Amino acid sequence: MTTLTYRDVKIEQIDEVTWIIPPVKGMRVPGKIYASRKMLESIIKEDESIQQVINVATLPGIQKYSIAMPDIHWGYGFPIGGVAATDLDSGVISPGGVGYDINCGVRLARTNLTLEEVEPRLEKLVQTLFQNVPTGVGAHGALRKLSRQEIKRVLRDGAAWAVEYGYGYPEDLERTEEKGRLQMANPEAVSPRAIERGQDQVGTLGSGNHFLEVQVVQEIYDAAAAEALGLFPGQIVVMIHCGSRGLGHQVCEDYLRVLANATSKYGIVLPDKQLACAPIQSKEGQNYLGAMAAAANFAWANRQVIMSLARKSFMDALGISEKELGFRLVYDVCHNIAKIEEHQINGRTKKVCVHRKGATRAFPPGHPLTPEVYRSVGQPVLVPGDMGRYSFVAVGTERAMDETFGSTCHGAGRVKSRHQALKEGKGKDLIGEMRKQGVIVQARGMRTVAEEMPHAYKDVSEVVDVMHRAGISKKVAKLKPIGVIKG
Amino acid sequence: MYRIIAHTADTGLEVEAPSLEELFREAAKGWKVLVLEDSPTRPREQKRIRLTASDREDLLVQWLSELNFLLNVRFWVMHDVISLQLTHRGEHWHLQAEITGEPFDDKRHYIYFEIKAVTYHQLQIRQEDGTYKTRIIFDI
Repeated sequence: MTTLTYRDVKIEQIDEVTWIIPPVKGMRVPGKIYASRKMLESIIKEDESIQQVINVATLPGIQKYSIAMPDIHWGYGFPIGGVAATDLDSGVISPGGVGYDINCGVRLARTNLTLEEVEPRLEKLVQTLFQNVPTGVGAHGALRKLSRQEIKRVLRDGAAWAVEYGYGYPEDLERTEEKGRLQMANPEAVSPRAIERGQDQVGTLGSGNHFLEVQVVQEIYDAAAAEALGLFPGQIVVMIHCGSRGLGHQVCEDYLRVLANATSKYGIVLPDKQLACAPIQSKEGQNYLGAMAAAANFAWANRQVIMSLARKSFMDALGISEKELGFRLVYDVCHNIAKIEEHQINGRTKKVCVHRKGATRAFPPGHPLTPEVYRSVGQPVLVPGDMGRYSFVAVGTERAMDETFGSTCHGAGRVKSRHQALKEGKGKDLIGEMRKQGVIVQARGMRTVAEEMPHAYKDVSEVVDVMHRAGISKKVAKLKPIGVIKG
Repeated sequence: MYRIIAHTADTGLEVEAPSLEELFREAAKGWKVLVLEDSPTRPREQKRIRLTASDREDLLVQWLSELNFLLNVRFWVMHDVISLQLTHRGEHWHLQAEITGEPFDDKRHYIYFEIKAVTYHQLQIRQEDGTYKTRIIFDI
């Protein structure tokens, strides 16, 4: 085993894919990074995310490790791909540990259809999805503009609000992380401006890296788990990637200001202002937790509505009944969230606040929060890749509970800036290029397509493989996109 | 003067101006080009903006956030900044501005970037040789 050096800090390899940063300079716990040697070398060169792993380790009340996934890259305060759990009494909560897009997450729905059945009508299907699911900046929701009171209900009830209005079924809630609703949500802690930003955004995909994809199950790695999840080779599935839209961004912005003041009020010394935080039990900490949970609920309602719009689009475009289509939620996971969870620390069960920023919960088989239908195989983990290559389905493991507070990776991460990707795409027929790769793309603007081309992203399979080899999550299936809609 | 800068996942602006007021005006211009590129805008309506912050960096974040809010939530596009005044009283910085613009029209306007937020990342307004300089990163 070897060591690598980041500035003057030693990073020690403890096995093929695990590295430790022993505590230095104010770190309360060691850093722990999951990556191959090659990946870690490029992470060290690329940006300052290793420094951010070190910074997070200085937070009051942090438990065990400041953890980084193989898809780690620079983020605001915390790295994206970072996990940190803090003690409920002595620890802090930090909006930088969640990110601007609160409960940005992924939802996967299965169908009864095969590639052969859908391929001849794929063009029409993608067009219908694009017409029915509002995408891009300034898109109005598929619903009427909701009143402030109604938004508060969304913030309180999450996905259940959407189901109550006929967007989906109660069984969907069983297959959503936290059943699509964080009970600690406090709509009163959400500012009027944040509510206004959400009023006509329920049921909108947004822009940037958010998407809705028609995918085909290309490869199965674990037959038993795939069967439990209702997946089979050649099957058509739908993946939805989006979050809490402007409402969540505003909650983050509002509370960064509140918590920046709280940091000095409570005498917390930080190596980076962007780690602004407050004791979990303080008024400021509790308000942020309540507002963040409310925004998370908004995101679940959003994805629940979008899934329903996708179901209807399939039925309309293909002219088939709901029963023939068999459109059912496989699972819905968050990638950006802070939650109060029970974990084993020094042999004792303890409640901690787990920050997952660009990381996915990966609870094991048998865990009470793993949905009953998946209890024998583990909680499904959804890891989206770029729009040309593939995405992955995995399941959580007992090892994740022991090592990462039940968390794993979340995606590919960019390798080229948007600017660079845009420059390289100038004058090229990018939609045509994607079509040659077997992917039909519909987007509001060519600029988004250029920025999101596959070569702008790292290969997500390397990320998923590291977590598989580390035993943190187990690969179940590989999904290939064939139809993409974007903002 | 402003310059659009690339950051792996995000984007930003480097801004320089001979005064603090000019710096805020230039930042608004840069923000507009970044978000709307060359979409033509008209000065059909006028709005007054008043903001208060604990320091000038926070005031800059609030200023650009306000323009962003008007665009993404109120669907109102800024055309130009007619007047802008900054004052420093006691512990606070105040901004008063008048801007022109018009309601968003999807036939003429196209939003290229959805800026989720204006960040405080390494945000610092410096004064070097009589020139104010800053670098702002947007979360997109």
